[in-house]
Amino acid sequence: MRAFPAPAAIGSPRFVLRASVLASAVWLGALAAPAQAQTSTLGNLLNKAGELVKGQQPAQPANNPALLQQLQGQVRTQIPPDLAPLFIKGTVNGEELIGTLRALQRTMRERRAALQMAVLVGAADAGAQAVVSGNFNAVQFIQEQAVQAAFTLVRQVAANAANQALDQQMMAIIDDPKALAAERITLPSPVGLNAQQAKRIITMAALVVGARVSTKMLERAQKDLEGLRKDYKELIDQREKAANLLFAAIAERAKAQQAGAADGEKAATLHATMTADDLRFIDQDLSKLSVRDFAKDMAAQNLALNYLKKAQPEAFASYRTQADDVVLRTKSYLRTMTGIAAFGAITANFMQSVGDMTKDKRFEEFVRSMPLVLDFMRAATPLMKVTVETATTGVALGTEGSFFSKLTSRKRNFVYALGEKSIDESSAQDVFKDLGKSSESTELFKGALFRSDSPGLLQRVGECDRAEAGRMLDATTSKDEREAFANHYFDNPEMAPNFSFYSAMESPGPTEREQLLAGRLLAGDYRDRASFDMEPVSKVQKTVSAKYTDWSDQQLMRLIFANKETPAKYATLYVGEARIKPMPTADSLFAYETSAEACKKLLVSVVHGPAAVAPASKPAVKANEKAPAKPPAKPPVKKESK
Amino acid sequence: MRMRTFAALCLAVLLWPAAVMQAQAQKVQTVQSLTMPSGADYGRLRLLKEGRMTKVYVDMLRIDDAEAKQHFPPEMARLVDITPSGLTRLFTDTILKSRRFEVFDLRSTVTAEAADIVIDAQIIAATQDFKPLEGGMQAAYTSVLLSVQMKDMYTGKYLFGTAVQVEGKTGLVSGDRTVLAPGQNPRDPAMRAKLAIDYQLALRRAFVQAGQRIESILRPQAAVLSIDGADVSLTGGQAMGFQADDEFVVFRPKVVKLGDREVFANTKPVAMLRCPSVATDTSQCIVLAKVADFTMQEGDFAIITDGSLRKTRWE
Repeated sequence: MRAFPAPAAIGSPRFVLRASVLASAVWLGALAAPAQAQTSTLGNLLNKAGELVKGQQPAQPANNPALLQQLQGQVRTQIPPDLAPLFIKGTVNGEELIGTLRALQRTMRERRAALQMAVLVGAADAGAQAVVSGNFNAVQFIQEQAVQAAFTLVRQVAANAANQALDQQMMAIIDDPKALAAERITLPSPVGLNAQQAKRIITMAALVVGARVSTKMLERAQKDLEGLRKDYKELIDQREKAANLLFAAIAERAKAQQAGAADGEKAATLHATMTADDLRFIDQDLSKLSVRDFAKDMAAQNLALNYLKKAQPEAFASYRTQADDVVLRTKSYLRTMTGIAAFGAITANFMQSVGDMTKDKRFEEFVRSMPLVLDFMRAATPLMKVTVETATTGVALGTEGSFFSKLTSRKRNFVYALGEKSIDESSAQDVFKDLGKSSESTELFKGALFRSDSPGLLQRVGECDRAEAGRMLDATTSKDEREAFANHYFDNPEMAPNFSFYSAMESPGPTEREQLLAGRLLAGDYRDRASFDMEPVSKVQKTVSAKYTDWSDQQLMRLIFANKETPAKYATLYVGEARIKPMPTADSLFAYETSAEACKKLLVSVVHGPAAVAPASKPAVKANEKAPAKPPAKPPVKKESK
Repeated sequence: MRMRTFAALCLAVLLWPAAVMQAQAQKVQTVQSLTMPSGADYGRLRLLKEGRMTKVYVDMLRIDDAEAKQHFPPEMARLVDITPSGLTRLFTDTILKSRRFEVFDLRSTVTAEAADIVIDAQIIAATQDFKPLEGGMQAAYTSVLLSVQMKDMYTGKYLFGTAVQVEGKTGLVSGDRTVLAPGQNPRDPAMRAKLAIDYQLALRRAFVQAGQRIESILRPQAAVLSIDGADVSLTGGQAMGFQADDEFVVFRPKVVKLGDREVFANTKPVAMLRCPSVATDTSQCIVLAKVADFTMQEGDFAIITDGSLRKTRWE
């Protein structure tokens, strides 16, 4: 008794059609349906799938001498020796598949791992095509536009999977033997499979195990998100309370000054905790704010925490401990979610391989894989949802955007100030609209994005977080523009499909052009003048200059913190007469708390601004000069102060 | 049957160029008017006949004049290399980057008299102010004001009515300036070196702006050499500073005698071209738009559009 139908039924066009339709429908449902509805739809479809595949529980070869003998014969002739014991055992746990998982990790570590994975699990098998019978039209069905569109989307996401995040996720899976051992999976019979097909089945089984472990991680992360949401709100409340305390002390000081009296207790603490510059800043910039606005001003809150340290040390210690804990947990959450999204993208190739089986008319292999497919669907649907969510929201695998948007209902994220007047703005788009009202400010901002003679705004982001700079380029360029860039820049059409700056900058490949990509894109200005060699870079820089308004709140936050000139507590971006400041939100608190640390990762820069005063007759390296033959050494670590 | 196929193929081959030409012709937009770019100059059209770029002679004024007012603080002048040769080199290099002119200066054997245009520039102000930021920090705002004048050696006339002033600045955007932390003294040697970089950047930006103004005045011009449907050949190519995909407005001028020289009395735009292929002395272009009631003729002139002037220059 087997989990897959009798051989006579395998070639049945009707059967394969129904199975294909079902697999595709389930998968599309996973991609498109909202989470709540998805669960029930998926459940129904899975039930139908169970009915469709009318096989019974697979026989365990180890308990069936006849089958065991048959399998051993098969093993000797066709199955690779390292895989044979797994097939003979029939049901294996994740720990037993660890070799395959490690092999997958090695493959994924290589450049363009996602595409290689697609090949690994989805390669056409000419031998299986012999199974084709009749004029069955499953191929036509599977190629229907909606299905193809979904495949394209997944392929795109898969290719964008961040190597580093993926590697970390694979490591997290492999390093958890307890979780692996808890996952059991029944393999299909190896009878009739050749070595390549057997290997592919084991790979699929390993992906199922990886997906199950990742799904459990996702459940834990989602629980932690609930806690984080509450804790960030509490942190902001504590900051506001501290700001209220500071406001009271300032008011007491002002009264004392007016009366010509000595400082009261609060004012004395104020003097003891603030520098003269801080007090001047309070007098000049913050004294005009109402209590409410003062309490919600990020700089005021940061100064207030200094005051709190002296006035109420215990309250401050409690805040600090909680803030450190929240930051640590946020990082952990982000790492987990990014890894899950990356893994989800890779496992999405699994479904593509299923689609390819029908496309290539490898029906026998398809039918044999059905139990694995069903297992996979159950395990990977939540992961794929995370992956597709990050792809469709335009943030390449960066779960930060969706994560933070879930934390609070944000009403005010930025302060846009022009001279004495300031406006609270809810989003980066609103800030860019404000900026756009002045053509001078707009031109200044665009001009400052890339510079050859001094660090541009994006170069600073790259110095702190090169992958984030890549995301910002991705957010402002279309898929076609990125592919055209890769094709032209690398002079290699193979680099083009689904190219993303995020992946290319997060883990650059070994070639000189890949190594120099971040430096060339971020540390020089090729918009006005460029060599032909730099034409693709010039085009991208011009596109980014035209579409920077597409950046998210989180990205503008990063831009502000990366380009701050004052301690982080005052973080402000100056653009001509305009000043852009973050408001205390979960986004900005996280960016603020991690701003110093983030800048430890440095950009490998090709073109630097004048590092020392060079005589005018010997100008510093020109922006459009050809890059040096070997990658330059990393610039020194930038010191950050809070 | 085979004969019939062969005949059909022959017919297709014969009709193909006509079909292509018709398709191209259909792309040509007919418009009521086109905007004439500024900068057309009859005198400089003689360069087309000579097949060469405009010769520009660059001169920095009053740098080594001991009695002239020195705008840079002496130490800054030394750090930034405010010397006649240093500044002239910087100005020359900046203008050369446009690749539209032959540039000469005091170091070359070509004298000002042998040039078509003489450009003189003078630094008339250099300032550095400090503005407070949060937390007692201060940001340096640096400005260098440059005055530029251009003389057409052929006519002996100045091209600008009055000298043009351009201002190079640093400090307007975060990250593009020196910032002093509380307690840091701008007179400290290390800080002076940083502040000198701001001066240097402001000076370079002033020169870049001056170069852009010069480019917009001394625009590349061309003449229509031949017309074949929507395909047009222009006199003028890389040697005159053209680059692939430059766009030109073709115009028909009325030339009048003004004193001892000829000038354009009026210029009527007749078509717009894009030139995908630029050779050394000629360019192959296609018509993008034509003005109704006008037909482009050989001998018409053309001038580069504002859009092409602002496009990336490939080096």
